[in-house]
Amino acid sequence: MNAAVSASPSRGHVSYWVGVGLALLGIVLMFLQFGMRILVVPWYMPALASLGAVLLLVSVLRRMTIVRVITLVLLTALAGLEWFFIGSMMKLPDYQGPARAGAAMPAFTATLADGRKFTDADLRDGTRRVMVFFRGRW
Amino acid sequence: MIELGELEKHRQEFEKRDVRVVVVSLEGMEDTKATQADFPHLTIVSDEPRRLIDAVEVLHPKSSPTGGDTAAPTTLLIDGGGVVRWAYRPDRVLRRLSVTELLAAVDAELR
Repeated sequence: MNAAVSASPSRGHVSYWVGVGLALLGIVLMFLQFGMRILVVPWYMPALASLGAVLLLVSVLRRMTIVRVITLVLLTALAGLEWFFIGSMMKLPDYQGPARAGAAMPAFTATLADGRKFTDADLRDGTRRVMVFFRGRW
Repeated sequence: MIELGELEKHRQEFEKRDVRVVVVSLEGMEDTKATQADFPHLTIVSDEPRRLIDAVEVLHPKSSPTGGDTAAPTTLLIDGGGVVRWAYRPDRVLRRLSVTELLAAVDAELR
Protein backbone atom coordinates (compact mmCIF):
# COMPACT_ATOMS: atom_id res chain seq x y z
CA MET A 1 0.00 0.00 0.00
CA ASN A 2 2.74 2.38 0.98
CA ALA A 3 4.64 1.58 -2.20
CA ALA A 4 1.53 2.31 -4.30
CA VAL A 5 0.95 5.67 -2.61
CA SER A 6 4.56 6.77 -2.98
CA ALA A 7 4.63 5.72 -6.67
CA SER A 8 1.43 7.61 -7.52
CA PRO A 9 2.82 11.18 -7.76
CA SER A 10 5.50 10.07 -10.23
CA ARG A 11 3.09 8.46 -12.72
CA GLY A 12 3.96 9.92 -16.09
CA HIS A 13 6.85 11.82 -14.58
CA VAL A 14 9.40 10.33 -16.98
CA SER A 15 7.18 11.01 -20.01
CA TYR A 16 6.77 14.60 -18.84
CA TRP A 17 10.47 15.36 -18.53
CA VAL A 18 11.53 13.41 -21.61
CA GLY A 19 8.85 15.27 -23.59
CA VAL A 20 10.02 18.67 -22.36
CA GLY A 21 13.63 17.63 -22.92
CA LEU A 22 13.01 16.57 -26.52
CA ALA A 23 11.38 19.89 -27.37
CA LEU A 24 14.29 21.79 -25.83
CA LEU A 25 16.79 19.46 -27.51
CA GLY A 26 15.40 20.40 -30.93
CA ILE A 27 16.02 24.09 -30.22
CA VAL A 28 19.51 23.45 -28.81
CA LEU A 29 20.42 21.29 -31.83
CA MET A 30 19.22 24.01 -34.19
CA PHE A 31 21.50 26.60 -32.53
CA LEU A 32 24.38 24.10 -32.56
CA GLN A 33 23.77 23.34 -36.23
CA PHE A 34 23.90 26.99 -37.29
CA GLY A 35 26.79 27.58 -34.91
CA MET A 36 28.63 24.87 -36.83
CA ARG A 37 27.73 26.68 -40.07
CA ILE A 38 25.64 23.82 -41.41
CA LEU A 39 22.90 25.36 -43.53
CA VAL A 40 20.34 22.59 -43.82
CA VAL A 41 16.64 22.76 -42.93
CA PRO A 42 16.25 21.73 -39.26
CA TRP A 43 13.23 19.48 -39.76
CA TYR A 44 14.25 17.61 -36.62
CA MET A 45 13.21 20.62 -34.51
CA PRO A 46 9.41 20.42 -35.09
CA ALA A 47 9.68 16.62 -35.20
CA LEU A 48 11.26 16.53 -31.73
CA ALA A 49 8.75 19.08 -30.38
CA SER A 50 5.89 16.98 -31.76
CA LEU A 51 7.30 13.84 -30.19
CA GLY A 52 7.66 15.81 -26.96
CA ALA A 53 4.01 16.86 -27.16
CA VAL A 54 2.95 13.22 -27.61
CA LEU A 55 4.94 12.24 -24.51
CA LEU A 56 3.36 15.14 -22.64
CA LEU A 57 -0.06 13.82 -23.66
CA VAL A 58 0.90 10.39 -22.33
CA SER A 59 1.99 12.07 -19.11
CA VAL A 60 -1.33 13.93 -18.80
CA LEU A 61 -3.30 10.75 -19.49
CA ARG A 62 -1.41 8.96 -16.75
CA ARG A 63 -1.89 11.73 -14.22
CA MET A 64 -3.63 15.00 -15.00
CA THR A 65 -2.30 18.09 -13.27
CA ILE A 66 -2.62 21.77 -14.14
CA VAL A 67 1.12 22.05 -14.74
CA ARG A 68 1.13 19.10 -17.13
CA VAL A 69 -1.89 20.36 -19.06
CA ILE A 70 -0.35 23.84 -19.39
CA THR A 71 2.96 22.35 -20.51
CA LEU A 72 1.14 20.15 -23.03
CA VAL A 73 -0.66 23.17 -24.47
CA LEU A 74 2.59 25.16 -24.67
CA LEU A 75 4.54 22.32 -26.26
CA THR A 76 1.78 21.63 -28.79
CA ALA A 77 1.76 25.32 -29.68
CA LEU A 78 5.55 25.30 -30.00
CA ALA A 79 5.47 22.27 -32.30
CA GLY A 80 2.74 23.86 -34.42
CA LEU A 81 4.67 27.11 -34.63
CA GLU A 82 7.85 25.32 -35.66
CA TRP A 83 6.04 23.30 -38.36
CA PHE A 84 4.43 26.48 -39.66
CA PHE A 85 7.71 28.43 -39.57
CA ILE A 86 9.76 25.83 -41.43
CA GLY A 87 7.03 24.29 -43.54
CA SER A 88 5.33 27.44 -44.73
CA MET A 89 7.04 30.70 -43.78
CA MET A 90 10.52 29.56 -44.84
CA LYS A 91 9.35 28.07 -48.13
CA LEU A 92 10.81 29.58 -51.27
CA PRO A 93 8.98 29.68 -54.58
CA ASP A 94 10.41 27.47 -57.32
CA TYR A 95 12.74 29.32 -59.64
CA GLN A 96 10.91 30.29 -62.85
CA GLY A 97 13.32 32.92 -64.16
CA PRO A 98 15.36 33.07 -67.37
CA ALA A 99 18.74 32.06 -65.89
CA ARG A 100 18.49 28.41 -66.83
CA ALA A 101 21.12 25.99 -68.01
CA GLY A 102 22.12 26.84 -71.58
CA ALA A 103 20.68 30.38 -71.54
CA ALA A 104 22.83 33.50 -71.79
CA MET A 105 22.68 35.80 -68.81
CA PRO A 106 20.24 38.64 -69.49
CA ALA A 107 21.51 42.21 -69.90
CA PHE A 108 22.09 44.07 -66.63
CA THR A 109 24.15 46.76 -64.97
CA ALA A 110 25.14 46.60 -61.30
CA THR A 111 27.90 48.13 -59.16
CA LEU A 112 30.99 46.62 -57.58
CA ALA A 113 31.98 47.54 -54.03
CA ASP A 114 34.65 49.91 -55.40
CA GLY A 115 32.07 51.81 -57.46
CA ARG A 116 32.92 50.35 -60.87
CA LYS A 117 30.15 49.07 -63.09
CA PHE A 118 29.53 45.34 -63.40
CA THR A 119 27.52 44.27 -66.44
CA ASP A 120 26.59 41.21 -68.45
CA ALA A 121 29.51 42.04 -70.78
CA ASP A 122 31.89 41.32 -67.86
CA LEU A 123 30.51 37.80 -67.74
CA ARG A 124 31.82 37.17 -71.26
CA ASP A 125 35.48 37.79 -70.41
CA GLY A 126 36.39 34.11 -70.30
CA THR A 127 36.27 33.85 -66.50
CA ARG A 128 34.03 31.18 -65.01
CA ARG A 129 31.90 32.37 -62.11
CA VAL A 130 29.71 31.25 -59.28
CA MET A 131 27.03 33.93 -58.82
CA VAL A 132 25.41 33.85 -55.40
CA PHE A 133 22.34 35.96 -54.64
CA PHE A 134 22.60 37.01 -51.03
CA ARG A 135 19.73 38.16 -48.78
CA GLY A 136 21.60 40.74 -46.73
CA ARG A 137 23.91 41.59 -43.85
CA TRP A 138 21.40 41.57 -40.96
CA MET B 1 26.56 35.68 -43.67
CA ILE B 2 27.38 32.04 -42.83
CA GLU B 3 27.27 31.21 -46.53
CA LEU B 4 29.69 34.01 -47.44
CA GLY B 5 31.99 33.05 -44.58
CA GLU B 6 32.20 29.50 -45.89
CA LEU B 7 32.86 30.68 -49.45
CA GLU B 8 35.61 33.00 -48.21
CA LYS B 9 37.12 30.31 -46.02
CA HIS B 10 37.34 27.86 -48.93
CA ARG B 11 38.44 30.43 -51.50
CA GLN B 12 41.50 28.39 -52.45
CA GLU B 13 39.26 25.61 -53.72
CA PHE B 14 37.65 28.07 -56.12
CA GLU B 15 40.99 29.63 -57.08
CA LYS B 16 42.35 26.17 -57.81
CA ARG B 17 39.49 25.69 -60.27
CA ASP B 18 39.96 29.20 -61.70
CA VAL B 19 36.43 30.15 -60.69
CA ARG B 20 35.47 33.52 -59.27
CA VAL B 21 32.71 33.91 -56.67
CA VAL B 22 30.38 36.88 -57.23
CA VAL B 23 27.89 37.80 -54.51
CA VAL B 24 24.91 39.98 -55.42
CA SER B 25 22.45 41.66 -53.06
CA LEU B 26 19.92 44.47 -53.03
CA GLU B 27 21.98 46.35 -50.47
CA GLY B 28 23.32 49.85 -51.09
CA MET B 29 26.95 50.85 -51.41
CA GLU B 30 27.63 51.29 -47.69
CA ASP B 31 26.60 47.73 -46.87
CA THR B 32 28.26 46.40 -50.01
CA LYS B 33 31.57 48.00 -49.02
CA ALA B 34 31.25 46.55 -45.52
CA THR B 35 30.54 43.08 -46.93
CA GLN B 36 33.50 43.40 -49.29
CA ALA B 37 35.73 44.32 -46.34
CA ASP B 38 34.48 41.27 -44.43
CA PHE B 39 34.99 38.92 -47.38
CA PRO B 40 37.88 40.37 -49.38
CA HIS B 41 38.31 37.38 -51.71
CA LEU B 42 34.73 37.41 -52.96
CA THR B 43 33.43 39.91 -55.52
CA ILE B 44 30.58 41.76 -53.84
CA VAL B 45 28.04 43.47 -56.09
CA SER B 46 25.41 46.03 -55.14
CA ASP B 47 22.17 45.84 -57.09
CA GLU B 48 20.11 48.39 -55.23
CA PRO B 49 18.33 49.49 -58.47
CA ARG B 50 17.43 45.80 -59.01
CA ARG B 51 18.54 45.65 -62.62
CA LEU B 52 20.32 42.32 -62.25
CA ILE B 53 17.93 40.85 -59.69
CA ASP B 54 14.90 41.78 -61.83
CA ALA B 55 16.59 40.54 -65.02
CA VAL B 56 17.28 37.17 -63.43
CA GLU B 57 13.94 37.20 -61.56
CA VAL B 58 15.21 36.37 -58.10
CA LEU B 59 13.40 39.07 -56.11
CA HIS B 60 11.84 37.73 -52.91
CA PRO B 61 9.32 40.40 -51.89
CA LYS B 62 8.81 41.38 -48.24
CA SER B 63 11.12 38.66 -46.99
CA SER B 64 13.62 40.57 -44.87
CA PRO B 65 13.21 40.73 -41.09
CA THR B 66 12.17 44.37 -41.48
CA GLY B 67 9.58 43.54 -44.15
CA GLY B 68 11.64 44.75 -47.10
CA ASP B 69 12.51 42.88 -50.28
CA THR B 70 15.55 40.64 -50.63
CA ALA B 71 17.19 38.52 -53.29
CA ALA B 72 15.98 34.95 -52.98
CA PRO B 73 18.95 32.70 -52.22
CA THR B 74 19.91 31.39 -55.64
CA THR B 75 23.20 30.13 -57.04
CA LEU B 76 24.19 30.24 -60.72
CA LEU B 77 27.20 28.74 -62.41
CA ILE B 78 28.17 30.88 -65.41
CA ASP B 79 30.77 29.92 -67.98
CA GLY B 80 33.35 32.25 -69.53
CA GLY B 81 30.97 33.17 -72.32
CA GLY B 82 28.26 34.44 -69.99
CA VAL B 83 26.08 31.36 -70.39
CA VAL B 84 24.35 29.86 -67.37
CA ARG B 85 25.41 26.25 -66.90
CA TRP B 86 23.57 25.42 -63.70
CA ALA B 87 21.01 27.10 -61.43
CA TYR B 88 20.13 26.17 -57.87
CA ARG B 89 17.28 27.45 -55.71
CA PRO B 90 16.79 25.85 -52.28
CA ASP B 91 13.26 24.91 -51.26
CA ARG B 92 13.61 26.70 -47.91
CA VAL B 93 15.18 30.05 -47.00
CA LEU B 94 17.35 28.37 -44.35
CA ARG B 95 18.92 25.94 -46.80
CA ARG B 96 22.13 26.70 -48.69
CA LEU B 97 24.55 24.64 -50.70
CA SER B 98 27.52 23.53 -48.68
CA VAL B 99 30.91 24.33 -50.19
CA THR B 100 31.32 20.63 -50.92
CA GLU B 101 28.03 20.54 -52.84
CA LEU B 102 28.90 23.73 -54.70
CA LEU B 103 32.36 22.49 -55.68
CA ALA B 104 30.85 19.23 -56.90
CA ALA B 105 28.48 21.24 -59.10
CA VAL B 106 31.37 23.37 -60.36
CA ASP B 107 33.35 20.25 -61.23
CA ALA B 108 30.38 18.70 -62.99
CA GLU B 109 28.93 21.72 -64.79
CA LEU B 110 31.76 24.20 -65.38
CA ARG B 111 34.47 21.94 -66.80
